[in-house]
Amino acid sequence: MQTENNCHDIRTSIFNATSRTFEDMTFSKVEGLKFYWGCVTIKSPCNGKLSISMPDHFIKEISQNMYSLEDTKVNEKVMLDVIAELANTIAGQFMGLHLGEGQICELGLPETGISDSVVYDEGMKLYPFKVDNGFVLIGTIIK
Amino acid sequence: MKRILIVDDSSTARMFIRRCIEISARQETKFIEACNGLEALEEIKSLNPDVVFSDYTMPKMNGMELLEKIKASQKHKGILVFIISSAGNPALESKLLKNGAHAVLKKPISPTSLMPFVDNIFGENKNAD
Repeated sequence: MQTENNCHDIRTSIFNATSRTFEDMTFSKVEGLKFYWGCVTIKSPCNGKLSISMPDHFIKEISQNMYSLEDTKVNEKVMLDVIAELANTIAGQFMGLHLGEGQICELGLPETGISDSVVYDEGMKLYPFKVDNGFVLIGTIIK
Repeated sequence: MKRILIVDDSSTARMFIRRCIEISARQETKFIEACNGLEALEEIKSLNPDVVFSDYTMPKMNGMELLEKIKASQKHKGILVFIISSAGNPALESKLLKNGAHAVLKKPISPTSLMPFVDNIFGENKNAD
């Protein structure tokens, strides 16, 4: 039976297994990452979701670039806002291209969060993209 | 000096819209920000902006409701209102234009997408006051 302690042990075991393997086989250092994620529900004309996940150091770099001329300090709240806006804009662009011009699309308000693993719904496909020196994972599920 | 009100529940979106307008601006501009339609109405009453850029989907009061309130006001109906939406919806766009929106722009906006409207935004003051 899965418990909270088991979940913590799984992550530790995964990290240790990955770290040892890369260190011994490729002499590489492994570091754990936190992911910032944003998710938008697609309400019509079909049900679905679009999510974006980015490692914390990359969303921080992007946010700092966006806010470079502002007095705003880039903190967790700002980074979550940035990823929410990215998710919202990508979802709108995706549905416009997927459905074609002149079609109706309704989106929900973005949800955001921070996790030490990539969170996705069953059946969601994940598409990795290299963005400058970082990467993003775009997940979609259309029912 | 033009007074431009930017309404969006995302601070990132407000900052980005402001940057795009600053790049397109032909004169000094004062920017006011609000995070939803209700807050925007308060700013409109006290600061009387010339132009409003508003997101469509927002909590508490959306862009359509805000537009209707502005256009129903004798004092403020001359304010130029741009609605910015992430999702496509021709019927909604038509309704927004019919209700008085000057234009409906799709996210992400850019200085290029604002170019056709620069004369309208930075032209003569269309506001009643």
